[in-house]
Amino acid sequence: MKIAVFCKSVPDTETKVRLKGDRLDTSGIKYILNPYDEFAVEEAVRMKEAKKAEEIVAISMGPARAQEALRNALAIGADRAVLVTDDALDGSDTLATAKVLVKVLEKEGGDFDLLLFGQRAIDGDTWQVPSQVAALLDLPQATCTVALEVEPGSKAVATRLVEGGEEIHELTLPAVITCSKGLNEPRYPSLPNIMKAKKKPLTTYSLGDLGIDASEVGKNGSRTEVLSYELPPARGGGKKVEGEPEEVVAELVKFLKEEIKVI
Amino acid sequence: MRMVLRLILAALALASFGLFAFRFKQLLDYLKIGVESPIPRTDDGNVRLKETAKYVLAQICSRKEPYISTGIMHTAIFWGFLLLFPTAVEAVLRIAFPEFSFAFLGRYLYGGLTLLQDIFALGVFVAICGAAVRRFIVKPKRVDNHWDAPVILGLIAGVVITFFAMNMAEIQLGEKAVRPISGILHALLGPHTTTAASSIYTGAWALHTAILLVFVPLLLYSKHMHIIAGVPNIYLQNKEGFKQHRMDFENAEFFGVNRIDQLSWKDLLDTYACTYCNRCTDQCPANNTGKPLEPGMLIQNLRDALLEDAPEVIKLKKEDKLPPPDEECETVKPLIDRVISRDAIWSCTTCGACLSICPVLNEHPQKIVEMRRYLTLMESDIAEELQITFRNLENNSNPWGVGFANRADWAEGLDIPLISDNPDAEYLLWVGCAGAYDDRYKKVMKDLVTILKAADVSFAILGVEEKCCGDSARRLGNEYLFEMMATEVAELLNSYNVKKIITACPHGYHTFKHEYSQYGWNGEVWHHSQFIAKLIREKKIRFNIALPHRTIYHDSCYLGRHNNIYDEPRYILRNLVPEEQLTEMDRNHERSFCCGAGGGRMWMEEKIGHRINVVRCQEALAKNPDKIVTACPFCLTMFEDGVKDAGKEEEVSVRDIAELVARAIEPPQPEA
Repeated sequence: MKIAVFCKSVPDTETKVRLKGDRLDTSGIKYILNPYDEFAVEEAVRMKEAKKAEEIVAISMGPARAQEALRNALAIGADRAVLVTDDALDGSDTLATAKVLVKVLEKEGGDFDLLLFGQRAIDGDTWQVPSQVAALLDLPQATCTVALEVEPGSKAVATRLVEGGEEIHELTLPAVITCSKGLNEPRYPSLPNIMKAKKKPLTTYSLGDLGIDASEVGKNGSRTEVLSYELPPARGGGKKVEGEPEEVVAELVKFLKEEIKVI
Repeated sequence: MRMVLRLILAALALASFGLFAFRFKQLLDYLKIGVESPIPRTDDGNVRLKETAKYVLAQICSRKEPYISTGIMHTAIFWGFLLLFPTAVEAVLRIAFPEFSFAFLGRYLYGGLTLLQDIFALGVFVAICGAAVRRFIVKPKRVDNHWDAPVILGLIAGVVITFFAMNMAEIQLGEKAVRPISGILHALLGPHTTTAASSIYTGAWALHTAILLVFVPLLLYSKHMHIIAGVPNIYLQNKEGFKQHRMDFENAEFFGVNRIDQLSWKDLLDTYACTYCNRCTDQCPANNTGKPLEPGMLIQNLRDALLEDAPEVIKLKKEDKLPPPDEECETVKPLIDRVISRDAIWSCTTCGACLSICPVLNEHPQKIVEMRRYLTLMESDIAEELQITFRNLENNSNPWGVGFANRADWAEGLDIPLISDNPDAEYLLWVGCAGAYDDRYKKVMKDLVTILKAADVSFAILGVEEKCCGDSARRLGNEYLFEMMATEVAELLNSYNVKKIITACPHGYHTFKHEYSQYGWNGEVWHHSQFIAKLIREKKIRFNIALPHRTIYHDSCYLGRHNNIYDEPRYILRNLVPEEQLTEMDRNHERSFCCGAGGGRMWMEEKIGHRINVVRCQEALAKNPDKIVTACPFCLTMFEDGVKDAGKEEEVSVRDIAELVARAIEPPQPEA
């Protein structure tokens, strides 16, 4: 089985988001491998360790710094990595991104049995790319998976959490799976594996290498446009209601009715 | 008859010394399978020699608190043995030269010797009886009765009894040496005829000599190896303080220790020097709270492993067939799970209680950290919570994982100069992760700033540029992470030409002081307790009130045992609190009991046994304090938890020493 794992380099979860004009201020940000992608890599590596998979290719689209996220995936146990990087990609929306990723899969032989994604990237938080890739390739997909059983060459059984229970899907391979928290506990790579990761192959493609025209990606190739960024309003102080129970209840009801108008 | 005895003893002597020499060479060869010692072991020869002589001859080694009584027994036996040594030489030489005697040394020298011998031989006998009573009747928990203990006690008793028997006979035969105790024994017990004296002498001498000749090789085949290995082990002691060595990540392919030949030769010598006294285990906070760590057993199991593995290692090395340590080897087995369990390895708080009590100065926690390095770096076999800690350190350079951009939030509005704006500030105030991110310790940091400002100290902080010093990563064995952190921080310090650091964290203090020179930063490091004491001495700060509360101080391990800072915090307290209100826990100074958070344990769940902090806190609460004072962010957290656990948070407050100081100088007094 050949598995593609998609990895995105994202700002660390603790990043203090700041704006610079109409764009995000990206200075002084520590980038990490998107935590949900880590579940995907771990899951793939476990399949390889269980002798269900032969090759794991970690794929990313992003600036040069995404190499670091890919090296992390390699340290966890991916076999090789592919990075699509090109200045013209800047500003690509989810669909443009999905199209590029599809091209990468074609370039890499197109013979993948399983496409693993994190359920979402913690930066843009759009949740869209995996499903768009599935749609473009006309593959079955299971999103937000918390348990996965794969029978190489035939099917995948994916469990998703839904309100009040679990949904179990059987998918014919090849399929797209997006990984959720709870699927596994990603390992802390050992030093020999970190060292080995530095020597594993990492291929870089430009748009030209993939035969993509610059007009199909970036701002021009995107159907959505970011108009502006705005920080959420600063959180105001809490309100404390004190007094006898009757008074407190009356006060609270008044607050709910008149001030925030929820009842 | 005498001739026959002499022949038998001559044969025994040959066998005895031959076996001794064979075993000595063998044990020496075994040491050679170890790697180089990462720290110097023979520098300052004269100092080492003097310290060793003092430590051994004055028997400081054996009489450390709280083992004074066994120490006195050991001192008596040790001195008795030194004094009886000439008699032993006499006895052995008399196999060849029946008339040999040290009497030629002259009346005074020989007379003095025989007098002391008589007194100390009695002392040895009493001590041996005491030791036997302790070992077989009292049976303290830490005493592990191997076969060798009773054998050796018996042999020593035999040596002393035959010594007196020889003397008693010789007195009857007209010998005039100064031996008052033998004289009394002779008067009481005889022998009173020359014939009897003559045969008793021959018998006693033969037995005395035979026992000695059995004893000689036995030294190297029992725990009494410490008699031979202890002294060099003390001479070769670590004089640089507790610290970990830097690894060679460029060239090494194997990290940490999991096979006997990965330890240094000095680590191996430690195992020979161990006397199985198990004082280390007796003092170990992990062991005392029901965890599986037994530092003594670790050393003893390592000796067994060495004796078992070394011949194989030597053989395979000779054939050039020894596989690299990460590959399986059929005859040389890994150490982890064999000499020590994983749980035990992770139980260590690196508090150094074992280090400071060990009579032969063995180095236990260093070995444990080496094994942690193996588990963390090679196997990545770490607790889940540590995975998070390591990630936090990697991504945000603090163990809590709060964003690194928030590191200076605590200082907002306090008007604290940044070093980037004040490159000429004399001191860098190293805030540390706790000071920057722990809500409780932020208060301490603010108080420390108040004190420094009141004393008009020229200082600045790094602000958001500060990073974690890496102590926890290093103690937890994540040396790769520490390497990156320490390299960055050392570069940062050098880029601002920082030469003096003040820090409130004993762990940061220790790491900067002892370990950052490995990464190219050298400078003065002050713990805030030292610095405040200095300010008081120099009259830079004055107090306007005395604090009336009953106060008890807890020694942080990294301040006390690892850095010998016991007096400064107490000096500060004496300036703040009336003498009669100051009290100590039963275990204080060098015998202080860890709070449970050292060695990176701060970031781990404590799942086995009782919680160390609860036990320590109970010890403090038993003295009915109003205030428990610490000088370490980890200790502060552990004690606050401990006090809450005891339901005493209303009555007993836990404070950092800086908080007490800041309350007493507030409002700052103008110079009179």
